[in-house]
Amino acid sequence: MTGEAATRMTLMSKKGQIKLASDGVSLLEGKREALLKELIDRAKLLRSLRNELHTRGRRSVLALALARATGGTPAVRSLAVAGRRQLNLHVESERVWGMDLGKIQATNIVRVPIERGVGLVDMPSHALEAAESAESMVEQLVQCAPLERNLQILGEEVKKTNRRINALNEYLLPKLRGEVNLIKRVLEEREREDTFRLKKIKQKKNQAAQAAAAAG
Amino acid sequence: MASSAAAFVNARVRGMKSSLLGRNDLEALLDSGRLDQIGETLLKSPYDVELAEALSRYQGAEAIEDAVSRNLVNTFGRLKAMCRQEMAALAEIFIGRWDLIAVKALLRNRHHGLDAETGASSLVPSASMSQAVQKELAAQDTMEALVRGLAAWNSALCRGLVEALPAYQETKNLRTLEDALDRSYFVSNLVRLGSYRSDDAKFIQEILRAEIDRINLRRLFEPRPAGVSAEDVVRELLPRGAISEQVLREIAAAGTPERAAEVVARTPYGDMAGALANFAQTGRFSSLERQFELKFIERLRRAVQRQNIGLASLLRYAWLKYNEVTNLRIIAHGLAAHLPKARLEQELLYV
Repeated sequence: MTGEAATRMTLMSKKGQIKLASDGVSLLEGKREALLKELIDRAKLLRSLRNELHTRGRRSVLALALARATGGTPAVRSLAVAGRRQLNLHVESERVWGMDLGKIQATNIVRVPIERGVGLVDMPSHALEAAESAESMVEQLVQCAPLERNLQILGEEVKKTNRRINALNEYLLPKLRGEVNLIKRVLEEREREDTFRLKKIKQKKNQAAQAAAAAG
Repeated sequence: MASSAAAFVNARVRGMKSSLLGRNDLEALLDSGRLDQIGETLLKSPYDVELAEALSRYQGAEAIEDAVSRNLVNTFGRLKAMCRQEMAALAEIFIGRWDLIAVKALLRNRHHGLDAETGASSLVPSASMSQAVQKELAAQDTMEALVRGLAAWNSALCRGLVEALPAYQETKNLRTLEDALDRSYFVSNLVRLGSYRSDDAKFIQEILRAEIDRINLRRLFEPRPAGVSAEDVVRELLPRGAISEQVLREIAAAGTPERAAEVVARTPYGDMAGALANFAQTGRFSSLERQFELKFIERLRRAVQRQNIGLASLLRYAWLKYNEVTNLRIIAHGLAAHLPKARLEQELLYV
């Protein structure tokens, strides 16, 4: 108790605070459960997407090695120069339990030969296949990246919720309950003192009455 | 006189051919699984000078690639230098095939506004273009200046670029220039070769026609983007191939890859019909390209048998050298990327 008067009003207020905190704990536990479900669902999706990303990555490394081998690294670099472009990524966000979770919409990452900006008459097939595999890997990466970031955000939020639940359960509620008990004890003590005082007064009154009766 | 010159070229080519690495050498390099083993082997081979130089700038697969690629360019330069008169002109046409990539690299750098220093790593070494010329061309600050410079360097190879320059300036589409360059190489050279009467010239014509067929078949069978009609594809095909225009139109008009393959079965490429239909579905041409390459090597082999003394042996050697360099690069990059040995074996071409 930090200088608060031990009154019935304070007791009622503290009890109100305990109810509020307990409701908060239930709410936070519900939130944590929902967040965990969301986290697990998204983690499962990410796992399958990441497996595909690894497959595409391996395919891309193989295709690039073969392209460098057959055409030479400068020729592959030259094709990369020709194929330079800016990717159009549309970033959207969705609100989940008050958090902004990102989503990337990308179109036309994997290009057809006609869109590569190079001549179609005599195309180096290995280099084009390497470009296609790399683009297909980037396409998967663009899908994985926001999901991975969202998992981090969700994980942070679960941790934060846990911390709040712990703070309420381990600190605030015991403290409030302690204060309520203390106020209750003080009030009981005060009640006992009042009763004792009343008894004393009554006793004194009786003694005074008896003395007056004896004198009169 | 001409035949004695050809005999001299043949003798030198035979000598150079004897120093090519054999199948056993390549298999031993692959089995060793070590990049340093490749380096050690190459330091005792005709690649020694280029590798020693490359090792001062790069290491591992990069050094090996740089060395073998430079050696290939130097070898092509030597082959061109040993030819005279008509043979020199014909060798120039054949080896010009590799110069196209060097020219395209310059065009791409200029198109994307890369300065000479930034774009240096994507410049492709060429047998005909010295490093000094390449640097000078790379330093040109407009596409027009570059095209004029390229035309001054090799007017026969780059004539198409000059013709396509106005269209490029209007559309700013690099494809216009690259297609014009390739088209000019294949078609204009065929026209040019019409003025020669020798067997060598006829053989080069045969090779160019086969290349045109390869390019046309690829265009016809590749998955067609939405909105592109058969007529659009036919319009962009190269003329003068061995397959007649009528047959090309039939292939383009065939509704399905299987129907198109049936038409191809009636051409000299009948053995590839199934593979072409498969390409139509997968869009992956590399395995098919390999079959074309094997067919090409077989054509060269037959030509060498036919002509005792002539250009065919030089062309065959050039192709064998290119194949050896490709094989070495496959082994080096494959080992560096830890690719499975079986996969590398699939890619190696032993001839």
